Amino acid sequence: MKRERYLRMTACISLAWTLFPEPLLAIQAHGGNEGIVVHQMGHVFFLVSMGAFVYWLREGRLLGHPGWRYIMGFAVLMGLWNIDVILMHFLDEQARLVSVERTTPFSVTLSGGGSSWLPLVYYLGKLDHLICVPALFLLYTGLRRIKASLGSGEGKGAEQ
Amino acid sequence: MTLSYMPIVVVDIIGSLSMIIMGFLCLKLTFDIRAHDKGNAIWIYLVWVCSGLVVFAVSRSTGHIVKQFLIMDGFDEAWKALQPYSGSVNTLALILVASITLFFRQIWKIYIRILKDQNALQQAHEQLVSLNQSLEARVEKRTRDLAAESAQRMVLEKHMSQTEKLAAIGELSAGVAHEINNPLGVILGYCQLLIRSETEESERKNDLKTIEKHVKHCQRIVADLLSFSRSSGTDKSPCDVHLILDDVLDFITKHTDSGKIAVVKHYDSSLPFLHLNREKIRQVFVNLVMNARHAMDDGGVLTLETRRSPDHIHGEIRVIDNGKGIAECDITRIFEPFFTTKPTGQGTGLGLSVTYGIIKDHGGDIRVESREGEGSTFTLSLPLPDITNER
Ligand SMILES: Nc1ncnc2c1ncn2[C@@H]1O[C@H](COP(=O)(O)OP(=O)(O)O)[C@@H](O)[C@H]1O
Ligand SMILES: [Mg+2]
Repeated sequence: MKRERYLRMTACISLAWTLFPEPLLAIQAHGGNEGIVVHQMGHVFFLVSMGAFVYWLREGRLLGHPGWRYIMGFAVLMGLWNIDVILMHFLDEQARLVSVERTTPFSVTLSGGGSSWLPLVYYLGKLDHLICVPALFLLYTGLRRIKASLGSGEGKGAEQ
Repeated sequence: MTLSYMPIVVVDIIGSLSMIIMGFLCLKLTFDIRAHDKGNAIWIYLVWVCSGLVVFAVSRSTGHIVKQFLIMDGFDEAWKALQPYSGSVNTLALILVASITLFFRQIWKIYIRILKDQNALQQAHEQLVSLNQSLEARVEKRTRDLAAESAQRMVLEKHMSQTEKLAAIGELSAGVAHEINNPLGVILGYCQLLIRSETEESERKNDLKTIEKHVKHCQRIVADLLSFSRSSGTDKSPCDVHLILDDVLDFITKHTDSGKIAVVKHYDSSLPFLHLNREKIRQVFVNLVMNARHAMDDGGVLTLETRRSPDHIHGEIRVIDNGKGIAECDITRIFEPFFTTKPTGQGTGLGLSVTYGIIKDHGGDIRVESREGEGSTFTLSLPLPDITNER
């Protein structure tokens, strides 16, 4: 009974294969711009999740605890960082409005879209570590607080 | 616009390294926290978030650093080969952290529910404990009540055995009294015959007088005993207790010196005539008033009170003195025949037992309240006549 079904299935697949030889139809290709789109979506998803996280933290009244206040700071900064990075990726890989030229090993010349501020924004935006490193530092501090409060036996960091 | 390339490189390299270091530090902290408090789902969440961040930081930062070096050293081809993997892992890590974060709410909710259940359990436990404790308290209280009850019952039993004892003594003494009464009469008769045949002022006459006196004393005791045993006559008629009381007071003040004793009367004039044997009740009052007088050798106040009992079934007569009172150990014994604290010759110890017998004979009761040094109160309750007999 089972074997019969398998046989039938194999037959169907073979038939389809011979009728439609192009693999494109069976399996989607992922070349081209798809990488950047997926990546950007990932960032948007991250941004949304951070926003939700902050909302839930407030709603859950965890903020009474100092540790969780820092962790909320982390989430806010990560959200900002996502916005920055999404913008950068957009400028770099999708709009391509700003052109970068290494004039010397120590300097770059930026020009873009005829506007004077866009290159500056681009330049500053590239310094995204100035956002995400403090964010991680806040996370670290928050975790330390939680750990300390656990160690001293008071509160579980999540008192209701 | 020409700008320095240095800040970008420096921030990129130092920032990337910091990201990796911080990521690992955070991960380690979350592990520590979880080790502290294993059962809490929220720490598992933190572990996952930090793991995601570490993967993200490593993939991104290695990408950045390697990129910087490779490009700087002119290995653009190598970077191109590496880039898709670094980028993909990076994207995956982003999505991982975001997904875990979105699960946070669910975890949070579950955690809250667990906390609530825990609280409910704790409350139930506390309730149980307090119930347990109050149960103990209740058992204790019940035990105390029972103990008090049994103490009360013991007192009652004692009282009953006392009553039985008095009755037994009464019967016994009645028999003895009867037997002795006749020989006493004969002795007295012959004694008086002999006295009559003696000449005046002879020594023998004085001796015979002494014998006569003592025989009469014996007769009195026997008469007392007989009245105690209730064996003598019980013809009763409606009497006014107030009249009898006044009569007794008159009689006593006339025959004894009672200068130092004040008498206070609180008579309830609505008290009806009681159905009494006048002579016996007289004797009762004499006994009680005499006892009170004896208790107030140094003077005091004798209060006579009559009233209806609160339940309107009895008339109550109280003889109250503020004399020396009765010792606690004696109070159960004072109704016993021959119990006396007075020196021989002064007290026979029969007064109260006779009183007791008479009152019982009238269907009444006698109670005593006394405190040593403060005085005594004797309360007689005698049944009121039916309403038809009221005055
Ligand atoms: N009013 C009273 N105040 C103090 N003690 C009393 C009183 N009435 C009776 N008693 C005590 O009770 C005892 C017994 O009294 P009772 O039977 O009348 O005998 P008696 O008067 O001959 O001693 C007395 O010896 C006395 O100790
Ligand atoms: Mg007496």
